[in-house]
Amino acid sequence: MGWLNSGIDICASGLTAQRLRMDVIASNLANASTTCTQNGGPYRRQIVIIEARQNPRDFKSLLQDEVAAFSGVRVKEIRTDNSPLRKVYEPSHPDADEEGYVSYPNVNVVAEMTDMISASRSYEANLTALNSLKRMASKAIELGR
Amino acid sequence: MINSILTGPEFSLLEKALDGSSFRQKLIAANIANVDTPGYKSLDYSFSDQLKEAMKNPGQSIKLSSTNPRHLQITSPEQRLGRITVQDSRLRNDGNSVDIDREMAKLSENELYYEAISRCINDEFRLLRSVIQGRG
Repeated sequence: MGWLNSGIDICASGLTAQRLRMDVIASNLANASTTCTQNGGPYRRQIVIIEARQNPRDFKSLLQDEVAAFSGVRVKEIRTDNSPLRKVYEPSHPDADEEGYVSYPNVNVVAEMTDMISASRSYEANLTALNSLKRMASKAIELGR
Repeated sequence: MINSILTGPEFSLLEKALDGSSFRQKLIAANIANVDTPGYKSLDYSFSDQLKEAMKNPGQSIKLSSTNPRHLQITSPEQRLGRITVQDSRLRNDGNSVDIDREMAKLSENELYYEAISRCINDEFRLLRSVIQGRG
């Protein structure tokens, strides 16, 4: 069943990566105005870095003409966005500095929403590919019936 | 006798087409999974030319060109026709060359191709069965 597993595994890796992207975007949106975190300071935007997953390049796979770069996708890391924070003048806020400015997270809600739509569409595309592979597999099972 | 029927040229050709199609589907799935990966280059797999070549002289296996007769030949049954092509252009600013519309179109086209080939194989089996049963 290797051919079926590897194909479905590729689609599943795409689904996992896009879902993680979605989770991180949800966290950014939920914390869009969090001025105080456990680590101290305001919340900072998180970015998901994804990369193509590499096959192990052993002799057997080279002999069978497998290309290294086609075994799906994986999340490399979740990085913190260190761009400047948004300063708002609110002297009565408990987290305000000496000059009365509060540092709000560097989350741009509009950008997060567009990212969210992009992640959602990519998830759907992976799901379509998965269903297509599944239908092909069931056709293969039906051969000779 | 029955062995020679089941391993005839039409079956082996259809098998190869089915194999190539499922491999191509895997590549397309990998492209779709990497639609948001910066720098990823889209891959495709073309085998129709080699399939035509194999149709002209059935039963002949494709040989690797070698400079020494003692070089290894790939003789495994998984031996594939065709070759993988890399789309090396830049479609977006992040260096990714996956065109999602094209990939989705290729996905459904390739699925239909697979279904057509599997229907051909089923028809071949049905012919054999009607011959064995002696009635139409």
